[in-house]
Amino acid sequence: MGTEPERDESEFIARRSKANIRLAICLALVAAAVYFGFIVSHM
Amino acid sequence: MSYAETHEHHHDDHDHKPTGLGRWLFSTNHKDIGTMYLVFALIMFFIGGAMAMVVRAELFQPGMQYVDPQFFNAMTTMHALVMIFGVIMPAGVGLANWMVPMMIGAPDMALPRMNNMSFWILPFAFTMLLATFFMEGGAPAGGWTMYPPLITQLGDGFPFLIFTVHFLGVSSIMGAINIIATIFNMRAPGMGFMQLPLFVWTWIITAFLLIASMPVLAGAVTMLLTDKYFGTSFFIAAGGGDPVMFQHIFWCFGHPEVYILILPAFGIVSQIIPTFSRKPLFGYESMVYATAAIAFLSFFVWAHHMFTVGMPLAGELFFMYATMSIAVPTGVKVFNWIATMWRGAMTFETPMLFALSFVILFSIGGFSGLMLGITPADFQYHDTYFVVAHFHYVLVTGALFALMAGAYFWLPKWTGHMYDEKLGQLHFWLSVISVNVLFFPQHFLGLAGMPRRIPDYAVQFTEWNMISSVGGFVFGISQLLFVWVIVKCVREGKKADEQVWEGARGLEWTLPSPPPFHTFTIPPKVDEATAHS
Repeated sequence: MGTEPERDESEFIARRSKANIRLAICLALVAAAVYFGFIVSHM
Repeated sequence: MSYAETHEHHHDDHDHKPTGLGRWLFSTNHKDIGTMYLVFALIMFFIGGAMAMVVRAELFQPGMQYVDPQFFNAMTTMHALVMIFGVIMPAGVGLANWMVPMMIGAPDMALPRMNNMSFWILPFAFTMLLATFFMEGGAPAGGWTMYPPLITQLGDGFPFLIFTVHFLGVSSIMGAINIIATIFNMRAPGMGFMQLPLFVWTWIITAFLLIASMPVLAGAVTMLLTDKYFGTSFFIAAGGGDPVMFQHIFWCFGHPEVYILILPAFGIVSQIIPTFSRKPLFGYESMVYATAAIAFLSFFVWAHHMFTVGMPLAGELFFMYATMSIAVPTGVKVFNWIATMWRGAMTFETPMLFALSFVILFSIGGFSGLMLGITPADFQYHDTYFVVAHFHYVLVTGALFALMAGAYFWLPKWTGHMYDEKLGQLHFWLSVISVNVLFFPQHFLGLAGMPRRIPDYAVQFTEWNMISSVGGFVFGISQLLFVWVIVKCVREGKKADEQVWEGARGLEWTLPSPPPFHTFTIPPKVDEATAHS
C-alpha cells in the first residue's frame, strides 16, 4: 500500500512494441482503404 | 526542470555506433536517419535549384535563348516535383526524425526498421525520376499537377513518373505512421498531449494529413497509368471519362499537401520565437486547435485551384468561402507569434531572423492567397505569374525559410558546435533581399497578364523579368553560403553547451550537445517546468 510497484521494463517494452505494430497496421489499412476507395468509386 | 539524468551518467555504456557504410545503409537510429533525410534534401535543393536557374536564365529576356520549349517545360515540372517531394517534405521529416524522439523523451522512433526503409526509398525514387531526362520523349513536362490528357502524351518517362509518385507516397505514408506511433506510444511518463512542444503537435497533424491525402494522389496516378496502358477511361472523354475529374482528385490531395509542407514550418517557428523572445508561447492551446482547424479545413477547399474549369455558382461560392475561412485559424497563429514577441527580451540570432521573416513574408503569401481565393478575381489571376509569386512566397519564404531557421536553431545541438553567426546573418540578409527581388516583381507580371509555364513572353514584361532573374541568381548563389556554414559548423566552432540558447526550454535541451548515439533509453521524468503549455 502506498508505493508504486516497480515497472517490468522488458515486459513494458514488449507490450509497447506490439502496440506500435498494431497502430501501424491500422493506419496502413486506413491508407489502403483511401487508395482503393478512390479508384473503385471512380470506376 | 526535468531530466535526462540518465544520459550523462550512463551513455558511455551504450554509445556503440556502427561504422562505415553499413552505419548509414542499415541505420535504425533516428538521428542518423534524420541526418540522411536532411543531407538528401540539401542535395535535391541544389538539383531543383539548378532547374530554377535554367528557367530564370531563359526568362531573362523575351525570345528563345538557351533551351527549347519542351525542355523549358520539363524544367518547370521537374523543379516543382523535386522541390516539393525531394526537398521540403524530406527536410521536414528529417527534422522530425532528429527532434521528435528527443522532444518527447523517447529512445528512438517507434518502428526503426520501417524508418530506414522510408528514407532509402527516396534516393531510389528520385533516381528513377531524374533518369527520365535520358529517355525517349524526355522528362515529364506537363506540369507537376500531371493533368491528363497532356501528361499521357509523355514518352517512355511516363511509367517512371507514375512509379516515382507511388514510391514517394509509400515512403511518406510509412514515415507518417512512424511519427504517429512514436508520439502516441513513446512519450515519456508525465508528458500528456497538451504538454507536447508545438513542433511535435504540428507533426501529429501533418502525419494524419499525409495518411489521408497521399493515397488519393496514388489512386489518381494509378488511374492515369491504367488509362494509358490498360484501356480504362477514367479521364479520357472519348471513352466516357472526364479529364476534369482528375483535377478534382488531384487537388483533393494537392491542397492538404500544401499544409503538409507548411504545418511543420509553423511548428519550427513556434519553437524559435519563444526561445529568442525569452517568453513562453502565447496561446499554446489555441495554436494546437488552430493547426488542427487548418488541417481539417484543407480538405474542403480544393476546387479553388480550378475555379476556371466551369462549375456551378453555388460550388464556386462554397469553395470561395471555405478558402476564406482558413484565414481565421491562420490569423490566430500569426497573432500568437506576435503576442509571444510582445514585450519579450528579444535577440536576433540567425534562426530568429529567419523565423521573423517567415512571419512577415508568409503572411504576404497568405494575403495573395486570399486574393486568389476570391472567385471573380481568380478568373483574372488564374495561370498567371501572380500564382507563381503567391506559392513561392508560401513555400520559399514560408516553408523553406522555416526549415533554414530550424537548421540554424538545432545545428549546435546536432553538431556540438556553434555555427558562424556572422556568416549565418550574411546568408540571411542575402537570401531575404534576393528572394524578394526574385518573387515580388512576379506579382506585377501576373497582374499585367504574363502567363506561367511559358518560355517566351511579350516585350512589355521584360524589365520585371530581368529583375526577377537577377534576384534568382543571387538567391541561388547565396545558398552556397548555407552549405559552407553547415560544413564549417560540423568541422569546427565554439563548443555548444546543453541548452545552447538562453531561452530554450524542453527535454531536447537537457541532453549534451551533440547528444549521444542513444538517448533516453531510460525515460526522463517530465514536470511542470518542462511542459510547453
